[in-house]
Amino acid sequence: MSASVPHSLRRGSDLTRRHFLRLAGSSAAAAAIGPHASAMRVFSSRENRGPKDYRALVCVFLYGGADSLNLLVPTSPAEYDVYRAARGDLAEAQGSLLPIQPLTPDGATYGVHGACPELQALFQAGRLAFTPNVGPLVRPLTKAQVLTGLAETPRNLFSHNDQQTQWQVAHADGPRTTGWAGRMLDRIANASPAPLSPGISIDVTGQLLVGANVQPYVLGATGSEPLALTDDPGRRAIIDAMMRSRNAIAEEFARTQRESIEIDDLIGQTLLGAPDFAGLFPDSSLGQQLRMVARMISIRAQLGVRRQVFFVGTGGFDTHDDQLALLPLLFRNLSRSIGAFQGAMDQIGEAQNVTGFTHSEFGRTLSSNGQGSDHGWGGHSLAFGGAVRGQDLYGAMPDLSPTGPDDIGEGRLLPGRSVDQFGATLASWFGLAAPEVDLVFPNLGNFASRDLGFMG
Amino acid sequence: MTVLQCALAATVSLLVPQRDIAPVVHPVRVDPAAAVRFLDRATFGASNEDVIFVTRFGYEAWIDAQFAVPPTLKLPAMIQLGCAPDQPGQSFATCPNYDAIPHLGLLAQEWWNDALHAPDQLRQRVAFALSEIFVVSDLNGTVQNFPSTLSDYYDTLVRGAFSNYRQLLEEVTLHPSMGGYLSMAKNRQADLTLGTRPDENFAREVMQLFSIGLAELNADGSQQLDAWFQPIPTYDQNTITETARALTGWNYDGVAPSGSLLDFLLNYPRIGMMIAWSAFHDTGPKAIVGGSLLPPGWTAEADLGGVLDALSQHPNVGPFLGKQLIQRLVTSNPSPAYVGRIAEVWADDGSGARGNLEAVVRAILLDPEALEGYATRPLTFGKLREPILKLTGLWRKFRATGEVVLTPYLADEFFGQRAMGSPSVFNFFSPFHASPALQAQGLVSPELQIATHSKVTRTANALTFFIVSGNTDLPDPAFSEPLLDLGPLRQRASDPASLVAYLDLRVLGGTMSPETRILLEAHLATVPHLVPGLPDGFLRAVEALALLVISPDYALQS
Repeated sequence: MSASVPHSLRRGSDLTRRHFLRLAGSSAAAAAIGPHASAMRVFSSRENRGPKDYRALVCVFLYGGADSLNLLVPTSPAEYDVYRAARGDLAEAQGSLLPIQPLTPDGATYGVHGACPELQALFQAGRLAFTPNVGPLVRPLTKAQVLTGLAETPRNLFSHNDQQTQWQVAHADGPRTTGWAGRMLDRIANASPAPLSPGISIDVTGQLLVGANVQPYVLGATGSEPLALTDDPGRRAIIDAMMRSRNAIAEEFARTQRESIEIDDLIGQTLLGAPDFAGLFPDSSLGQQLRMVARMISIRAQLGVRRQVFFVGTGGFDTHDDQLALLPLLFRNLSRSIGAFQGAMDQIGEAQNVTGFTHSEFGRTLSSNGQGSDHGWGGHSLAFGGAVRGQDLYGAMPDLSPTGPDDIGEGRLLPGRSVDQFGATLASWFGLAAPEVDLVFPNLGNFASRDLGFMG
Repeated sequence: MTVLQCALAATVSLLVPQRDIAPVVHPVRVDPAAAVRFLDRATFGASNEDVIFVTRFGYEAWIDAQFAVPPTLKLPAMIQLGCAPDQPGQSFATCPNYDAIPHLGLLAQEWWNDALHAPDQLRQRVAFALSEIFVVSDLNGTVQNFPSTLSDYYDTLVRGAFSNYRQLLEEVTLHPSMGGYLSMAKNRQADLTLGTRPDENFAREVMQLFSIGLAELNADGSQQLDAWFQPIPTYDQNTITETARALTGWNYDGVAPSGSLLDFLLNYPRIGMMIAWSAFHDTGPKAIVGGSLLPPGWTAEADLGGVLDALSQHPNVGPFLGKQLIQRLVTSNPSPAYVGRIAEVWADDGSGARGNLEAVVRAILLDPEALEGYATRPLTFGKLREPILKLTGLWRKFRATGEVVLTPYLADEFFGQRAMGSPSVFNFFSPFHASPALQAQGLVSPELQIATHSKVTRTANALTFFIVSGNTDLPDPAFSEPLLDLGPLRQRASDPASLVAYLDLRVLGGTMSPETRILLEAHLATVPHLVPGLPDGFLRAVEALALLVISPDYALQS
């Protein structure tokens, strides 16, 4: 019995709903409520303001602090030796790395982690780019400034939750109330038909999609689900009226439940008809989240969506322990999931319109604790999609030598470029004009380059 | 508790000497609605027996009686099933029935059954709160592979729920599940040959999450600010590096410590506290939190004691952890004065003892703000019920009998929450989480972080399912979970106002909003009372209860 329970709660084979319909003696009219009204609303909400084309960003957050220093690795002998000395037992074997050929030579050669053939292929096909050594910064810093404590560094460096917030907020010394994608979406009229938010996260929560006006909609990886009790129109009216509270906390719950019902009215039926990309995605949490993103993108024209930012994430990257066993599994899942997502975008002809990218709270220490690595600062991010100027590294690789100019201790790397610059590059592609980009990233002017170039 | 146990406990509590010099006779009459509210904070849902006890004998007598109930533990059941050895340090290879994954399921079922049926409800509720502070999660491979060890970790929190914080912190620190989860096990001093240095994982999180937090606090929980109005960090990276060195040289019990690195690394968790392997301890001096210095030559045990003493003596602990316990049990936004009162008890229980968790729990539950906040600050008081506690509450309020067989992963799917299964050491939700609307009002709602659009509907549908299929009047033959007794609702169903009034009292402790009351009464009037083939009043009972448990009124524990 137990095994059939979740299935029974899904749309179409809904045991709960059948019970209620039977018990309440409802007529067929009860079952007819809902989805039809929503299509009308989509068309009536279309206006002439705002973008005409479609673009979407997809943030893949690697929770725990990914050891990206083992994702992109120098393979030329001199550079590999420095890497190997710095990483000790954590170093990837030179022969295990999958070679890549960046278009802009920097004197070294590179490979990606052996578990990532999909990333290698995307890079070589010009659809994936690396941004080396990026992290939260208020302004560019030198090692001396950090070590003497004379310059402003982001608060509570190396703490998981603080640096997760710093990446999503991209305003290291500002308030933590809004995320960069939320602020960006605030500036785009008619990005998505109300009540569907243009900021959609799959299962995960965070500040990235929180704006002054835009609030994220959190969709499950298995899709949208109707509230079973709303099947009877009389009861539906009672529930709509009951979802209010004078208590501030209970009202936030009630608002979430109201929105969940309204958005299911809008998208539930349409989503059921979306391609399900069976067999394409890995059966992991990340794979299934990205599959749901692909399904949502596939119905964007039916819904009348012009701009969307999706937020997905996967954990387990905090590899203090057992890193040699865990990291290949984590990277394998990442690479397969991204490869599958890109395949899905090709299938539905959206590759040019959709750009994915990674965030992770920090890179890790180059040095080993004997079982793994500890919390660092800078790490490598990647961007992927048809519009990405791929097959290149955008920014200098950090000096990996212990006690070198980029090592502020135990192989914690001082970021060479900021999250703000990385986000601003994506925001410009998304369609924001330069002055708006500056408003979204208030510290952008502190940095020499306001566009890292990987979006053309 | 059975009625007999209640009567016994009551007798015991009357014999316990009172603190006041003058003997206080306690025929305290507590209003039943207040008893329900109190018990929803102190248990997994106010049972009839406990409501009767509290109304008759008062809050304090109930708390005293609960302190006297022996702990309900999970490891003994795992031993009985043959999945754990009965001696600390013994290998799992000696167990006839050792198999990790099914036993993780058994442990989850034990959690549900204890939440539902264990007589030591207060202890179990506090232990659950502690499991959301001293987080260990079965998503970690080492924890997952040793479910019996994990059951013993939870037992450590159950046993320690009313003990002393310093002692509990040590038991948590040295527990093999924690040793595996935050990799303090096998942490060793810097190795110049291999180029390795100590692991910072536990050193960082024990400070950020299990004791003092990131910023210096005032006794009322507010942040201290420097001359530039910025928070003052409690420690920096250097403190972590040094503390990591102090916490080297610990490993699982079961293998005699030696100087062999291979032995040190090949060891694995069993039952029983971690032990020191002196050959792997860093004996240099260390500067730890608050400027304390651990002198050179100290043993692993002495350094550990030094670190835990420094942390437990830090003035932040009372306000930092006291406030989180208030948030887990009572309200998301306690006033600074409430936090201050608890921090005071944390600092001194009245007998000079610091960190007496029994006194802290008592003070949290009996604080005037806990008891009266629903009326004095109705716009902000209370907390969202945690998703899994919505179901335990429903079951306990309606006398659900029978064993829970819900598998852990179904709990995840229904509720997005599973005891001992949080996504990271940062728990299911952050004590600082706020939506923009709440942030604008200076409020937080930790549980709101997992009350997402998809999860609120999923949880509501699951609760509906548990009501419709899982009741004694019309059980779905395929339904194998505990069954609700809807009799008290059906008996009142001929009069919707009386039915709704009963629900208000029994489920919400009298906090139903006037709007919800009117809507429910109006709706129930449209539902037939008598339906051929169904027990009298059944349809109204089910409609009323299902609507109530998805309402914002039930979402809030006030």
